[in-house]
Amino acid sequence: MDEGNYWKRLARRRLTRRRLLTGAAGMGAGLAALSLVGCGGGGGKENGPTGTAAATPGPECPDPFATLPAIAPRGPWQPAKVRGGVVRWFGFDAIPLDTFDPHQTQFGPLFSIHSGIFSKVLAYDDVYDNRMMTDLAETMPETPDKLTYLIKLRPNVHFHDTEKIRNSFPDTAGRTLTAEDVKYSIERQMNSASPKASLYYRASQWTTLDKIELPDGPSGLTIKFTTKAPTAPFVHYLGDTCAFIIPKELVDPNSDDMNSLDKMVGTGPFILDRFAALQVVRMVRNPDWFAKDDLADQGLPNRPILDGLESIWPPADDTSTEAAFRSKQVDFTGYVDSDNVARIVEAVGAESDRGITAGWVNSRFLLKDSEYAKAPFPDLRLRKALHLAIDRSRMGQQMFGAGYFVLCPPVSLSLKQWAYTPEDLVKKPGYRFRREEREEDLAEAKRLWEAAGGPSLPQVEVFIAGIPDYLKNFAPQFQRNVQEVLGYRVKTRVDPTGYTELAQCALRKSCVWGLNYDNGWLDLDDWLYAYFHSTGSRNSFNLADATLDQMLEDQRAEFDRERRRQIGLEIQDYLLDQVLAKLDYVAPSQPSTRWPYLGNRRMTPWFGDWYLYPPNLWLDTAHSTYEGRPA
Amino acid sequence: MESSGAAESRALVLEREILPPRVSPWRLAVRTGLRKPLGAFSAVIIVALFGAAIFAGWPPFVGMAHARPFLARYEAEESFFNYDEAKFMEIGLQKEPPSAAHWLGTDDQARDTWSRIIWGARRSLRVGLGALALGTIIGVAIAFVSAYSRGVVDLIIQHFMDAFQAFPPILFLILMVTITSPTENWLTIALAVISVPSVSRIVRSCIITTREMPYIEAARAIGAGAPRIMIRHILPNVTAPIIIIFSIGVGVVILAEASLSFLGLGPPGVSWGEMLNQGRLFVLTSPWQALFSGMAITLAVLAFNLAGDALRDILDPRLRI
Repeated sequence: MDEGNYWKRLARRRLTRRRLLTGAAGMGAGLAALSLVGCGGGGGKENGPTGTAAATPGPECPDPFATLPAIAPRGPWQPAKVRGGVVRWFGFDAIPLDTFDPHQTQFGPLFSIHSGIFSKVLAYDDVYDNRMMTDLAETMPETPDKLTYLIKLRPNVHFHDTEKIRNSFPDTAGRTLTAEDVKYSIERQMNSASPKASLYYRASQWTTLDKIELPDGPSGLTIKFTTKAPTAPFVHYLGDTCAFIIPKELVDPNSDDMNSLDKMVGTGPFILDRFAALQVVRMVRNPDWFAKDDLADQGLPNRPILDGLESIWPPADDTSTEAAFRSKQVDFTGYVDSDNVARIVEAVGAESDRGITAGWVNSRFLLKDSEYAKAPFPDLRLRKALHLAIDRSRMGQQMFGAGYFVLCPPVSLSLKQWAYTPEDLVKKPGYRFRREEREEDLAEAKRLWEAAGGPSLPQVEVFIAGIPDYLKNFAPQFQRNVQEVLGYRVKTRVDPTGYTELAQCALRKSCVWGLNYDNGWLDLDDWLYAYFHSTGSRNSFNLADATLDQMLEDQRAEFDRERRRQIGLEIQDYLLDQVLAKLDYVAPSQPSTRWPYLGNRRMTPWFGDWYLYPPNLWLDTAHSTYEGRPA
Repeated sequence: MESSGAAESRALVLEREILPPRVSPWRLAVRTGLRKPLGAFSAVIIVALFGAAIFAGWPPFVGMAHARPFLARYEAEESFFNYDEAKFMEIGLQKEPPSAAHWLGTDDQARDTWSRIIWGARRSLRVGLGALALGTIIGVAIAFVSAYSRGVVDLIIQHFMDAFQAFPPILFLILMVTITSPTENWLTIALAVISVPSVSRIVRSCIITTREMPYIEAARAIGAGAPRIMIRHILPNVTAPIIIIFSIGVGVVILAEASLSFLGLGPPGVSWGEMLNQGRLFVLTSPWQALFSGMAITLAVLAFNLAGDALRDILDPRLRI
C-alpha cells in the first residue's frame, strides 16, 4: 500500500533534471510574485514614472500649453580649462546608410557626420532663431540688389591632411580650397545630365540660380551668385544640408559620386577616422581647421578642444544604456524610455538636457488621383474629419511617454522664427485638448465625415514606416482611434524596409495615406515650398493649387523677415483650413542625461550640427564627477 | 448443474475480485491527479489557458454599449486616459503598477496587461495547436511512407530530414516569415514545417518496431494489405507516442511563436512575445510589462511539457511497472 502513496514515494525519489527544472520554475514564479509585491508597494506612486496622472500630475506630465522648452544656454561659451580627450555618446550616427556622398544622401544622421567633416559657405549659428553665421565665407554676403550675392571666402582653408589621405589622394591632402571648389559643389547638383541627377534632392533650390561667377578666377577666393529672381531663402541654401563643399577631384567623373569612406575629405573641424555600421563613428581633431581661433576671445583657442569624438550605436535596451552611462563609458545619452532620465539624474547626480526636435510624426494623403492610385479622401471635409479625429495628445503619450511635444503646426515649433506660437495653435481645432473643446472637435469630425459620405467609403490602407519602432507599435492604436471616432476601419501595412518602399511609393504618388517620421528642416521654404508647391520636390500629394503656389512664391520673393513670416503664417493657415494634405501630429523631445564634467554641450533641434558645438566640447578633469571615467 | 442465478452471482464475485473496481471518471481524475500532481498542475494550467483563449471575449453582449468581456475585462487595444483638470488634457494611465482596476498593471501605451495576456493566449494556442496538428499529420504521413516502404525511399526521406534538421529552425522561421506575408496562417504553416522532421523521426522509429511484431506478421499472413495494416494495426499502436510528441511539441511551438514575435516578425495582433519585447524596453520603470508576459510564456510552455511527461507515464505501459 505504501507504494501507492505519492508523498512517501516522493521522499525516496532522487533529484532528476526534470524535477530540478520544475522546482526552479516554481521558485522563479514565487520570486516573481514577491517582486510584484515590491513593484506595487507604497513607494510606487512617489517614485513611479508617471504616477496616476489624473490624481497626481507630476512634473513629467506633458503640458501642451507650455511655450518652447528651456533650451540649453545660448549665451557665451564656457572657456575650456583642459584640452584633449575623446567624448563618447550613444547615437544613431553609425546607421547603415544609402551613400556616403554628401550631396546625395538623405539620411539625417549622416548629415551630422558630414557637418563635422565638410564646411559650407554659410552655416547656422542658431536654428531655433534662424540665425546664420559665416563658415567658409569671410563675411556675410554682400547683396547690392535682390539678385546678386558677392562672397569672399576665407584664405588658407585647407582640405584634411593625414598620412592616409596623402597616400590615397596626394593632390587633395592639404590642398587650399578655392572658389572653384564652391562653384563645382553647387553646379554638380544642378547637372541634369548626371546619372545621379535624381539623387540631388536639393537640386530645386539651385534652380533659382542664374549663374555662378568667379571674378578672381578659379583659384581666387571671390564668388558671385546671381539668382533668376529675388529669392529670400538663397542665403539659407548656402548653409543648408546640401551645401557641403567637396574637392572636385574626389568625384568619379563617370558615375558622378564619391560614395566612399576614404573620400570623406573636407575642410571641417573633424577628420573621419572610422565608420563601422551599427557600431561606431569615430572622428579625430583637424589640427588645421580654418576656424580654430574664431572663439579664442571666449576662452576657446585652437579648436577643436577634444582629440576626438565617438558616436557609439546604442544598445537595444535602457538597462545597458544606463549601465554604460553610470560607468561613464559614455558622457551623454538618450533613452528609449524617457522616464528613465529623471530617475538617473537623481540617482547619480547627472544633468539632463531636453530640446525640441524639428523631426516629427505626420501623415500624408494623396489628394488627387495619380497614375498609380486613387485619392482616398478627395473631399476636404473628409480630411478635416480625420484631422480632428486623430488624437495628438494620446498619440504623443503612447509613442513617447513624457518626452514629446503635442503641438505640431505645419512648420515645426522649434523654428521660432517661422512657426505658429503655441498660444495661437491651441486655439485651432485639432490642437485643442480641453474637454469641452475636444468634444466639440470630435462632434464636428463626425458631422463632417457623415456629410461627406465617409460611412460609405471603401477601406483604405495606411502605409506605416518601419522605423522607428514606435510607429509600427502604435499602428493598432491609430486604427482604433479612427474607428472609435468615425466608425471607419482602416488597414495598416508596415514598410518592412523601414522607409525605402514608402519613399518609392511617395515618389510615384501611389501612397494614399502614410504614417511616418520626417527629419524636419531649417527654413520656412524647406517646410512649405518643397512639400506644397505644385513643382515641389516633396510634393507626394499630387497637389496643384494655384493660390497656394502664388503664396509660396511670394514668401520666396519677400526679403523682409517679418513680412515673410506673416506670409508663412498665412500659408500655414491656408494649409490647415483649405488643404490638409499633410497632418502633423507630435514631435519627440528626446530628453537625455549628461555628466556635469562635459562642458559646452548644447541641444540643437536637427541633424547636421557637428560643426557647431562639438569643436567647443571639453572634459573638465578636475570636476568631482570625472573620477572613475575611463580614458 | 449450476443454476443461472448461481452462475451470475459467481460472475459478479469474479468481477469484484479479479477485475479492477469500476470508478467514476471524477474519482479517476482525482486519483490520477494525486498520483501525478505535476500532471494535474499542468492540466489545470492548460484548461485555464483554453478557457482564457475561448472565453476571452465572453459573454458577447451584442448591442450593449457598456458591456465588457468578463474574463479579459477590457479589449486588447483599449487604452486608459483620465482627464486632468489641472493640465486641461487627458493623461494616459501608462506604466501603472498592478491595482484593483488593472490587475497586472498597464503598459507603456496605457493598455491593461491582464487583458492583453488573456487575448494573447488565443494567438499562442491557435498557432501552437494549429502548427503542431498540421506538423503532426504531415510528419506521421511521412513516417508511414518512410518506415513502411524502407529501402531507397526511406533513405532519401531520412537524408532529407537530416538536412532539414541541421538547418537552424529560427533562421528558417525568419526566412519563411520574411518571404511570406506576416499573417497568422503563414506563421502556423512555417511552424508546422519545422516540427515535421522531429515528429516523423520519432514516429518512424515506433513504426519500425511495431511492424516487426507478431500480430503484424499474422495480419500479413491472412492477406491484409499495406494500407489496412498501417491504419488498422500500426496506427493504433503508435498513437500513444504521437499524443506525447504532440503535447510536448505544443510548448516548443508556443515558444517559437513567442520568439518570432519578440523579434518583431510576428503577425499583427496581441502576442506574448511582442508584449515581452515591448516590456523589455521599460523594464527599469515598469517591470511588470515584461514580467507577466514572460510568466505567461513560461507557464504555458511548462504546462505542456509537464502534460507531455505525465501522458507518457500514463500511456507507456513500460513505465507503469
